Amino acid sequence: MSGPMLRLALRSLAHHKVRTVVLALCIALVGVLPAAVDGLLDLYRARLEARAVSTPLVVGAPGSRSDLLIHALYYRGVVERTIEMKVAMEAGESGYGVPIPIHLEGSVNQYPLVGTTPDYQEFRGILLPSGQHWPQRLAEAAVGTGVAKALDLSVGDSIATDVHKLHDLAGSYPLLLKVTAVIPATGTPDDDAVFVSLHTSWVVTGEGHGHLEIDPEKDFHLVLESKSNHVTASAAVVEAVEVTAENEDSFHFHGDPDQLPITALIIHAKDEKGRTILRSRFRRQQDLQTIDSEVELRELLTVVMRAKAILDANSMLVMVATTLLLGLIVTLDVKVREREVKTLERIGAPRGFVARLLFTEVAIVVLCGGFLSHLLAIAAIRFVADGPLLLP
Amino acid sequence: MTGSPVSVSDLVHCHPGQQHPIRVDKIAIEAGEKVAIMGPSGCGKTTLLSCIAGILCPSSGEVQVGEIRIDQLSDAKRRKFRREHIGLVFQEFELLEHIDVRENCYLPMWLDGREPTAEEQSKLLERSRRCGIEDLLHRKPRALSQGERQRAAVCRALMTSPSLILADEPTGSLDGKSGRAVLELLFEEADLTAATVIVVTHDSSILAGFDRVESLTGSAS
Repeated sequence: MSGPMLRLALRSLAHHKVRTVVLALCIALVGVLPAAVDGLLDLYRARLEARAVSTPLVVGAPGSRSDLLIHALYYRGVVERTIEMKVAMEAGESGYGVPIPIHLEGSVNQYPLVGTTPDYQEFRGILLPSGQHWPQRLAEAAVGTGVAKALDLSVGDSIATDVHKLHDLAGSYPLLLKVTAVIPATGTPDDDAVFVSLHTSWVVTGEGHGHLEIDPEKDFHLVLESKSNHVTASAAVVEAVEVTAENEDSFHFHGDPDQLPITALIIHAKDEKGRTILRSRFRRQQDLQTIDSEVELRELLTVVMRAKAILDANSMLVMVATTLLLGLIVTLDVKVREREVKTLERIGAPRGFVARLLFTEVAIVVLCGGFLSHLLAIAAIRFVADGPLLLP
Repeated sequence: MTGSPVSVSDLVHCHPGQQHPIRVDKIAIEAGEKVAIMGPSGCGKTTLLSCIAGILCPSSGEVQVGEIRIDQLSDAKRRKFRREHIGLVFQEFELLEHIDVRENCYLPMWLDGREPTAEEQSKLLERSRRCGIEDLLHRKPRALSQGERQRAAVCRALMTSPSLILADEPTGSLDGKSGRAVLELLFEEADLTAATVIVVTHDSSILAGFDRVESLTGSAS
């Protein structure tokens, strides 16, 4: 392609501005979806894999392995089965690693509420600005940067948990949480979660509660059943919705602490040997299942990739249709520009010059459309990358 | 630079789908001569001009420009010969609408795959001054009057200093005054290089400046 031909092609494209812009836009729009999907999938895969690599061993209740993975690593989905807290105790007592329980049931403004231990902060390498601390006491919360931005929260603010059981006769109340830390952006699901201590999480889900002391003699109208060592109060006893210095001691849990529920247990093994021993130990237990996050994620992604193949096929068909239409437009364009073509031929255009000129014009339009498509895809990917990690 | 003599003999050309071929027995034009070709519609004036220019290849017969037998050249060589040695002027000007007058004048070089040299650029300025379009070089053809367009077309035809200038009804789309002005311009420019000029016309009022007139009678044999 010579300079003069490029100039002629550019002049022609500039002269037919509307046609050129419409064609370039059509190509851009056709290309942007597959390009954006490809880019986003790469981004998701990289993020998901990074999370899985950093969380190699997860223990949970038997059932769907991918559900367990999604719950424990990405804080998504509805948890149907839990394991008991004693599993974490046993793992800790083994000395082969640090158990990090995850309790995922409550929510704050639809953002997942994650109950865990302070070990989580060290495990994920989360560094908090000075003056902020990981939630350790009841009703303290560390919010991800995405949550903080969306809800306009900063340290010292309060947020209420969501009420899930509106029609529960036993009463179900929100709990007011105090923000003690805003986690700096990590590009992980941590950005869009609210972290609390396990005890807080259990209070939110009704495993524990705080209320005023009941005197069966005086508050007989609040008592359903009174035994020598046990009083059952009715739902008329209003539970505390805020933890204060005055009522903090009133919070308590009924039942055996070892049996309190957790969604999953992340094992931060000391070394490979410790991981292997703990993995085989948990695998032997019928009421537990152990997953290797990386392996499980790869299987999950295989399913996603199969679905993407259908999208790719669809994109390919659309591209073929667009190419055919482009061919038709070029053919019609040659008819419209018959006079121009004839002039070039009559004043001595070399053989194939007109064809090369048309090809150059089409190539420029396709390149512009492709470039625009690339830019749009990058913009879309950046928009999503800066936002939450979208998962079903 | 001198003009090319042109000779045509026993030329027969049949357009696809046409029953009666165009026939021209003999035409001989001296170098530097200015010849008008006249005749009734359909007698083959434009076909003859196209055969001389190498745009069409005759079915039979000889077409010679200077020392070159145009009818024996390959298509690629005819195109090259046309670019380098023949200046063409058309009734409808045939300027490209999407480029300005200057770029239209550079088309013969662009078709050769090169930019005009500094000498060619200065020649364009000089020639455009003589053609009266020096202030119009940056305008698109649609911004010009009919007469200005034809002067721009003449300017383009002369860019390669051709030895043969072929004009097909160059005054056909112009009023009498503009037509005569364009023809005068064509002759003046041709005189500068002693180029041969062949003009197809049906307008007998413009014949004054020609050395002679060739008449074609008709296509049917």
